[in-house]
Amino acid sequence: MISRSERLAKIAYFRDGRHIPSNRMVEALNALIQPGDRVCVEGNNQKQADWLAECLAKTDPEVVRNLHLVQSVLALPEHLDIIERGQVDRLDFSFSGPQAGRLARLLEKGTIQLGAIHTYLELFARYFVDLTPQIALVAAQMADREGNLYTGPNTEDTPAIVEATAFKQGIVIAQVNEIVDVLPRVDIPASWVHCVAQAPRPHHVEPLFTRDPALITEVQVLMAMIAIKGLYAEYGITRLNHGIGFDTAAIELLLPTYAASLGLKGKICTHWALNPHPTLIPAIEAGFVESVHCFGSEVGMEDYVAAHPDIFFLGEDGSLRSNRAFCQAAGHYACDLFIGSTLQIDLQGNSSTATKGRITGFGGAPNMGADARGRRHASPAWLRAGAESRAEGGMPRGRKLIAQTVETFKEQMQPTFVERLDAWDLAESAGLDLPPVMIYGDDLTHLITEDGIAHLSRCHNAADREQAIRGVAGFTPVGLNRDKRAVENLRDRGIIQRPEDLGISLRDANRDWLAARSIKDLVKASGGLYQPPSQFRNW
Amino acid sequence: MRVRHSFLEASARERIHSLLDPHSFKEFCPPSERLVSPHLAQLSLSQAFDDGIVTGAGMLSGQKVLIAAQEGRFNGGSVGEIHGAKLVGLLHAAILQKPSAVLLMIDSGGVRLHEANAGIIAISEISRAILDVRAEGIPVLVMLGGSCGAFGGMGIVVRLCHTVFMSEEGRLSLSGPEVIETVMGRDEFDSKDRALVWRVTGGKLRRALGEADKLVDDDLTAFRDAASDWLKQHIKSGAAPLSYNDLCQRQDALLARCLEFTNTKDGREILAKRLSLNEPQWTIANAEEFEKSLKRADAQHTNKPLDTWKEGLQALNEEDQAFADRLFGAGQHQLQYNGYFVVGKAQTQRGPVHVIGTRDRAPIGVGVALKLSGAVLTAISEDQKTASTLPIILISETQGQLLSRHDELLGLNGTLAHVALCVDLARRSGHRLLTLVRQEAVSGGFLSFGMLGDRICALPDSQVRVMDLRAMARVTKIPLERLEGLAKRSAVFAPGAENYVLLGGVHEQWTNKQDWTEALASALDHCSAVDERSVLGAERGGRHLAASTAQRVKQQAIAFA
Amino acid sequence: MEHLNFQLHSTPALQVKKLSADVLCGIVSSGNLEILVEPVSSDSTVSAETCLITIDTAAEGFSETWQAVLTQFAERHAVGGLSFTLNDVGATPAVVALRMAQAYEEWCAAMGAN
Repeated sequence: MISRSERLAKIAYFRDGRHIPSNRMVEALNALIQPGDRVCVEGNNQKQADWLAECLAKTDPEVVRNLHLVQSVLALPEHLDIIERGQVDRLDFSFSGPQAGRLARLLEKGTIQLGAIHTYLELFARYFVDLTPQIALVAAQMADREGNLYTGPNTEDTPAIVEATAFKQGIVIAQVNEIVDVLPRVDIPASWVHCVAQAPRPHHVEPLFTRDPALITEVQVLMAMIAIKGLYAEYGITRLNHGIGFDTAAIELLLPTYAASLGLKGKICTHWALNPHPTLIPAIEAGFVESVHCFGSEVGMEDYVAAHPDIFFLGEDGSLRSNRAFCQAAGHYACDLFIGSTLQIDLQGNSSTATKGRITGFGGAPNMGADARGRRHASPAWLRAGAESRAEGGMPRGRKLIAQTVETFKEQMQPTFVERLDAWDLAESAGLDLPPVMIYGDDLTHLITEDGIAHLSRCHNAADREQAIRGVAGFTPVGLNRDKRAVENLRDRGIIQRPEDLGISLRDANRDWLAARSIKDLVKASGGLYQPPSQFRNW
Repeated sequence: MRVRHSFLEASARERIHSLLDPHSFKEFCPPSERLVSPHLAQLSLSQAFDDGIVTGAGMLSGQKVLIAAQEGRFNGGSVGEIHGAKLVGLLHAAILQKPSAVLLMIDSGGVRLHEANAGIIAISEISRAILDVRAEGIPVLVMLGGSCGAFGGMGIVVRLCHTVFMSEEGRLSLSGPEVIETVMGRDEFDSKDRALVWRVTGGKLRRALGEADKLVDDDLTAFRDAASDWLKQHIKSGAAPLSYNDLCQRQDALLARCLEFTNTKDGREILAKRLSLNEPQWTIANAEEFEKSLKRADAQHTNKPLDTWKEGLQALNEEDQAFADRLFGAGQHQLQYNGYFVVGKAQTQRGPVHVIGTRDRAPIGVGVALKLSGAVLTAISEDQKTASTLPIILISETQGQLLSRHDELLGLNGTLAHVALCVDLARRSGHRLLTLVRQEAVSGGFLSFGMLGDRICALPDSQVRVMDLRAMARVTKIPLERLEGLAKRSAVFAPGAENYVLLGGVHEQWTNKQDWTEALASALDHCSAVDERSVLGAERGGRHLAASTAQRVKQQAIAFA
Repeated sequence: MEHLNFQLHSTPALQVKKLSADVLCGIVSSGNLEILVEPVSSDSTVSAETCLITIDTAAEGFSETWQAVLTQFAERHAVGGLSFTLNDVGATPAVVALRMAQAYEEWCAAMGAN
């Protein structure tokens, strides 16, 4: 095993302190990387070390080969180029998003071996056990002359990757947007960083968490009303995480209006593990929110976040400090509710976003959307959910509330509810060990559709559970095959609640409830501090 | 937090109900009468029971008003035969009933391409009817804040009305940004750049430019309050029809605006000059803050005479000379031209006439339009001096409106409306108006000028259309072969002067065998200041439903009163 | 375009005070539909326990789903003696059910107001 100093000696002739010239980055990678190295190219779902990925894809395949990629996200074409060029033997990752189709084809061809598809937190954990990178290629906003890094609002995965690499003889290489004399703050100390180079252009950041309120439908408003009244108010949920999507954006926008009208201000949704969603602005302005810790940042939200040190986690310089690993842990252990959406749900309540021919991976949702079995501290919501699901005489313990909010049909009349998840076919065709399930049915406590809410936590046997799922599955084949009497019985027992059972009139389900109806409204609500990217603006 | 009811998101019916006094609305030709478009059915397309427009009567702050609202989400609020006829009928009812006001909630991309010929004729009939309503001293208020805004012919119609209220979400223009981008390229107008689209056509820009009279927040209550205040004010002050002096002032102000913003292609420059707020302050200012920040327009006068349109005129070329000889007889005319503009006087068998028009398949932009309106105003004033009202021959030769971001920014729709107001003033002053369609007459260029004639004659081999079939197939996503097949059986959408004759939009088409001087004399004899095109369309069998639908709305209005 | 007709059993609707009463709900636009609610004409032979539904839809081949959505609607609401006429442009069952319920509620409100 070659030591770090031996590796660095190879590039000593052009390494100036910790800095290396940008035009020698490919040369540096050729020299530093050994065959068989575990390499992490920092790609979070927002910030991307895109220039370093390009440089890696230009290395000599004869020299830089047999690599083991260990990285959270495979989002860039370059990540796949490296595989196609035959430089990679093995892959462990979390999420592949836009490259899901190409990745599936490469796996089917047998070009590489797939280790496993992880959640973010799992992969970070393995960095410290058996998947420690020898080479980490990371992205930061700025470096100083010493090599200290400022990662700014989009700190995200960097601390986790760097810590694992730097303290186990690995080499940390950072691309930065600019080199300055004095950093706003130090996010990564220079002694953990071995090479710094200024990228020819700023690293890419994707505005992944921006949802235009103009596109929220009445059905989504209806489901948000059901969620607020049937779930948030019912359990008094104060600590929570929201998935990305229009369904949860609708809930965020109904807090200052609908939830406030129910007298819920201060009683729900006070503490969040969440990115700075623009759609949370009205709730923050209305005084609903006390604290938000972030996985990453969001493009355009920098000034707004900086103006709210009482709510967000900011550095002394005034800008956001995000941290995906900590926020994932917070979402898993410190939140009482996760709510998100999915593509398919089966009769046991297992849900998956897998479709044939695409390997998308998981990201963070399974950690948010799983009961924290190691949790020991109590809260009223957690205790209530635990009590509901406990068999008589069982050991008292709490339970995390895990909800899925879905329309029964997607566009083009594709049913969300299915007898068998496409994940089974995908596992077979791609040779996966397990069908890729996002959230397991036994973790799911609540299901919300336009048909109502199913309190699965209140079902004590498999038959009830199946009928409760069928009971809110609308006019999908799964819904039509319900046992009508059993479903009515579940309704009498309060396990299924229709909108009218919650006192929600369909006539009230309209967009007038949205605290902001457009991106412009969000800008106004922020007092002009939110600066949306141009694709979202109409001024 | 007060729940805001968005005007933008409300349906046409919700807009009407929120505007009028509770339970006061009576709909004419309601959905239960199922006046649906047969032309959409012919193409196997979905129909709406009200054909996308709600018409009726009601009370606003205790005053009787007639009201119409277009549904922008049904086929883009587009105007087809029935849709248009319902509005025409309502306006005709207004002339009879003299309500306190007519309120129009326009939300329309313009002509419905699936019935394009019927649609553009309907918009022309709407224009004529609005001018008639205004002549009666009845104020017409437009409220604009829907998802479609007002484009195409409806962009012109809006500016024929007395007052325009807009939200910043509303848009008002002539050609859509997508059309300009498709034809002229992305450098001319990037329709995907939403910020730019609104800086060229949106409510705040239009208000700063003076093309809208008030900016209103996107809130149904705000629109109701604004309309109610406006009505109270007009009950006190009345709404006198536009006079010659009014239009001369407007002519000069429009010229002054062109000179002030000669090369401007982005609303930023206009907003910067007209507002005390800076960017981005104005972008987030609400209606009240925006109104407060408006400065008086810098240049409203050119200090030039009315007939500046005479500058640069020269003798006709050979081809035009031959054309004029044939029309009036050799030596019987003194016509001149400058670019696309042609003007002069001529002798006919019925005596002297003014000739004003366009040539060389003119694309009509702001510049040509202001020459036309200037020449019409000059003709009116010259004849006043000699106590005569000579007929005006309107030569209509145009490929349509000029596709230009600069002209759209300066309000080409409003400028064309100004042309129409001038032509209409000539009619009301006693001038007969005879339109001659030469070569081709297309959409916006035809609508605000040639289509306003008392009588419209198409010269041999001339072409009249909204859009050619190929472009129509692309926009409507209907296969070209299907459209071509249908065009053989239906006159309602396909190009061709003969189709317009069948629909009553063109009174007659001349032949090459005719003596044009005689045809001209006969046409002058048959000029009528009353718009009878829908009756003509029904008689000729090309447009069965327009006249009867308009009549039906009118009768229900009478029965309700 | 597909044309569908349904006659469904339902509880008789509350007494219609005005025979001319009708309500229109929704808009004919993509993923949406409009619904015209009227009392069944007095010369019709259908019983007060029958609801008539007529549909023109741009999405062909979903008559079974329509049947299920509308049957449930007729079971859950007192719509006997009413006629619903729909112009549909590919609305999902969620939107159809929401719009039908809204149409019914608006009709009830209109009855009260008249």
